[in-house]
Amino acid sequence: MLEQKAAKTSVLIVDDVAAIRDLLRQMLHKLDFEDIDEASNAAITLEKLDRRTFDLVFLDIELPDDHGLNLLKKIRGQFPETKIVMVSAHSTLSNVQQSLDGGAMGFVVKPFNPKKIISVLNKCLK
Amino acid sequence: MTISLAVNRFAPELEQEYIAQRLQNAEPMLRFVYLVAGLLPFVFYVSKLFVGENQLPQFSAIELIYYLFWISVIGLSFSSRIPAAMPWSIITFVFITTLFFSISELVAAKSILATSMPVSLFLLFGIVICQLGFRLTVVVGITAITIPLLVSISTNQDLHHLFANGLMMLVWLVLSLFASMILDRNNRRLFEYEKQLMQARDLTEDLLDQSFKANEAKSRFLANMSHEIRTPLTSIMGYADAAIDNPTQENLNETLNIIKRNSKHLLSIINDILDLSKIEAEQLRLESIPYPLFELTTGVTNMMSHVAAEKGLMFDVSYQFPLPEFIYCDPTRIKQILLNLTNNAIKFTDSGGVTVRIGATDNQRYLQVEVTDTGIGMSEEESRRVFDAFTQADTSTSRKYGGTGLGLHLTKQLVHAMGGQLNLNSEKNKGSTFSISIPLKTPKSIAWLNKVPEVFYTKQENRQRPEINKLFGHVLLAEDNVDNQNLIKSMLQKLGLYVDAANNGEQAVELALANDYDLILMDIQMPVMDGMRATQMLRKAGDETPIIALTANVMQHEIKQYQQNGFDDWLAKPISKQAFVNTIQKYVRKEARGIDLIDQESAEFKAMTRSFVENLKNDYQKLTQLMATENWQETGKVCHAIKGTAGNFGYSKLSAAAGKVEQAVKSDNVDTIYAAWVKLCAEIEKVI
Repeated sequence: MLEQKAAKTSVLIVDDVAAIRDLLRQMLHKLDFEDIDEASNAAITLEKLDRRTFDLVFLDIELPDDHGLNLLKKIRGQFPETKIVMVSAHSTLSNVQQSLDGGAMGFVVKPFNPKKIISVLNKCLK
Repeated sequence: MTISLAVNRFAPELEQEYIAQRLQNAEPMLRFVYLVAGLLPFVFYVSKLFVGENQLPQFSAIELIYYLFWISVIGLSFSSRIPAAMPWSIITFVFITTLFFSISELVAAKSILATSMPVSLFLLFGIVICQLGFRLTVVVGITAITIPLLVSISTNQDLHHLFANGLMMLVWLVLSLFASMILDRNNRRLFEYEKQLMQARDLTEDLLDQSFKANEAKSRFLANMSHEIRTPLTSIMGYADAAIDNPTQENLNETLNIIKRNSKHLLSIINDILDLSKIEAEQLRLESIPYPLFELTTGVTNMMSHVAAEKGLMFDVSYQFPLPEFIYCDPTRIKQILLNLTNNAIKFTDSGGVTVRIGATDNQRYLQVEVTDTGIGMSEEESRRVFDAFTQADTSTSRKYGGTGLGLHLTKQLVHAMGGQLNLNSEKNKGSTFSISIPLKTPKSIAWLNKVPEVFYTKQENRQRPEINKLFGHVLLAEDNVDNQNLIKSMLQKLGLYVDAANNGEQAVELALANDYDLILMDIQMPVMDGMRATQMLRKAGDETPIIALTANVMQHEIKQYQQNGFDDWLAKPISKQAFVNTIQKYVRKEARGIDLIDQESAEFKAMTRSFVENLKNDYQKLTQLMATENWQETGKVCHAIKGTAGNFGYSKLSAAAGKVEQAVKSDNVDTIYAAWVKLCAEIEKVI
């Protein structure tokens, strides 16, 4: 099911660390995602979203120019169709709670675990 | 306004009751009328003195007879007896009275007496016959009109008094007819009201009685319950205290065995009570699945033959063939019934043995099981009470043999729920026979066998304990109670699993999201965040790790609730070993394997790793400067980034060390920060 939808799904990876972006891109490639773009901060993210629609955004909670939760709210407000998965090195409950309350479809913790990435994708692409 | 005179008759039985009631009501009135009617002729006779006649007239023979009739009527009235059935008594009375007046008119021409007396009398009669329905009114009226007419025609005389009398009677008849119709309608309505009122009163009384009984039963049940539960608990706590006070005592093993035995007993009480409450709340759902009959019977009998053998009892099983290979049933419940009956039989038998007979009725519609023992037996009185909840034959029995007193009650309820019957035949000191017969439903085209299939001959022990394979996997256990946590943890570890423990729902969510578990065991009732909310949150965050609810609440609707909230399965507390192993096995793998989205040997990954290491060198320099200037905030940020990244490239120790520094800078304690920093430096040096 995931494989069929993967090719048709556009993904934007937002993280300030290039290595993390690369890693996630690799993982998504393995799962047959083709349309993948990256952004390293909040400003670029909004710019890219303005230019074209993305089905799914992996959004790091800690960005250099804005807080991820803040950006989450902005994206949810401006692009309600876009599904967002929050990414963080901390799985503190308040982070998780605020992300879910803010409308995130999922929450994954760094370092990435392939199984968790798959289950989050399953949920988002259902 | 229209007045409908139509009368709706009641149903035959009610109509009879209505008529009887009306007659009963009319009786005192009639008695009064008879009394007045008996006295009136004398009053008129005496009154003649005052209307100018100096001498009282002579009695004629016919008058004499009539006055004798009156005297007897007065006598009857005073003796409170009305001759014959009431309608007949009235008709007879009217007939005789009108006949007399008509004849005495002819013979004596005593006009005053003849006209005024019937008028007064019949007015009074009117009141009575109106109450008794219009049919009687018609008969009485016609009698009163035709008698004078017949007399006048037969004597061929034109008697104007008599004619006037007849006319008056006609008017009286019509009026009474109307009155009786209206009265009848009203009476019927009143009768209906009265009936309903009485029904309502009966119902209220019944309800009051029922609720009183139910209340009483509940109080008795609760009182018994608390006693039954306290007894084993007292031993458990007492022996546990003793073991804690003196952990080195020699007979510690025995103490623990006592605790275990009592705990088991407590558990069986609670299970029985739960079953019972399900039955009483009509929540017991019986399965109906095709199940091999001999698996059921041999399963129970093999197990019980060991128990019997330990007690030195004979245990005999005999089948009456043919028997179906498969039957539709609820196997758990059938086993429960068979176990209860055989267990009871063995328990209450000290010498001799127990025989189990299994067969079907000739018409193949019922399955019959008979369990006969040579045990203590029961008197007739005891046999009657033995199926009540919390009753054993007598209290000394329960002291000697133990038991909850719920088993037989429960068994009977279960048999009834299956549409069957449980019978008991017992003789004091000789033994008892419990026999059940349950409707037998078999799948179509099923074989009826004439012997036990060979596969069931093999000793059960080999089949009952399948070798538990070592399991592989990582399990998160969320349980707030330390004792339970340790217990379950050790059970999981024995199965070969790695276990992380969380003390509440919050920790569970954090750990579950950050780690790759094969399975999560989640207690429902926990402080800070309960298991239900934690599971909901994990599911919302897109986590699909299987979650098993650990709970003491396993009623059907509660289990449904767990499933709706994202749980995959449930385990009842206290945990039974077998159920535990079976459930865990479903979710963890039997061999080590993993999902790998990253090919670590690939050139791409190697390149990414190299780039990470290059970046790390930069970060290391930056960190050294930041540390020198005691810029804790920035230090924390950089360490945070390293922590999030390093793990992905296989540097888990580096990731952990960076995490330590990140935590340390938050504390603002310089010593801690430097301690963590030194360790991080060591890890970084290793990588670069």
